[in-house]
Amino acid sequence: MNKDELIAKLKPIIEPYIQDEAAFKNLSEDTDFVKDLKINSANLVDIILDIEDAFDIRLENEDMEQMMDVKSAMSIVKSKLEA
Amino acid sequence: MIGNDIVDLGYARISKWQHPRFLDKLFTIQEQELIGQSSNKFSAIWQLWAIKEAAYKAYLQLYPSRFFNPKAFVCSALSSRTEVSYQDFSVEVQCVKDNSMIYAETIAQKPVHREILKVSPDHESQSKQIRQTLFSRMSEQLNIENECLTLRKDRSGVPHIYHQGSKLKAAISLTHHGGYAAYSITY
Repeated sequence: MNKDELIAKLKPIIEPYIQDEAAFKNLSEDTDFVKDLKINSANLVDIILDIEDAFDIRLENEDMEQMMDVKSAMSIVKSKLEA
Repeated sequence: MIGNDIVDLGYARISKWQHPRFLDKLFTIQEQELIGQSSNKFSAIWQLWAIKEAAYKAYLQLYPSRFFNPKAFVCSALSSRTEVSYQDFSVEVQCVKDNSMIYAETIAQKPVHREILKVSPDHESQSKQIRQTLFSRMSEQLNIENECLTLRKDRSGVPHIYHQGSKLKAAISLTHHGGYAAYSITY
């Protein structure tokens, strides 16, 4: 799965929780879940569970710890898919 | 330092709290036992969550950083006053709740001013509403012009208040969830 495919699969997972439409429209690797998309921290775990189910992977606490932006989510998912 | 967190229980219902792996993502085995023993599992889950989040926000004010690891903020009990520890850091957190919300706040050395507001669920307007309420309260307390106050968040997301551009010596925590928002401030 290349970068664009990965972003395309992540976007609909993130969308239900965003509170800033403009930031979501301009979503890039540098987009921060909390600072840019204004996602409530209580919803981060929902996103993590959805990512696990969508990609059929399991994320450990150490993986979750840095999942604050699109870039880190992508690199963690990628490394799990390659493992 | 001060950390707070509010949970709108109506809004929390639509989260994935019943997902089979939800509890294990956020809570230690001991915390999961506390939840299991509780007569209201749903309320227990969100009370522990609010306590952890309040402790995390206080931690960031001492140790600037950003991460997501609620499970590592370990609650010693599920009560109106709970000790939370993360590595070498520990803090006491107090909790109040009613049928529609749970509010948690770290215990501070100095007096704390706080307000819980009902706000519209729109993020931008609730953010404005909580800032305006905080500023008008501060201007009364400090006898300064409301218009001279600004709020900026640092890289860790910790809010700081500036008066005519210079940073005030106050610890602030802001929180919002669903239809609720709150601030707490200590000078």
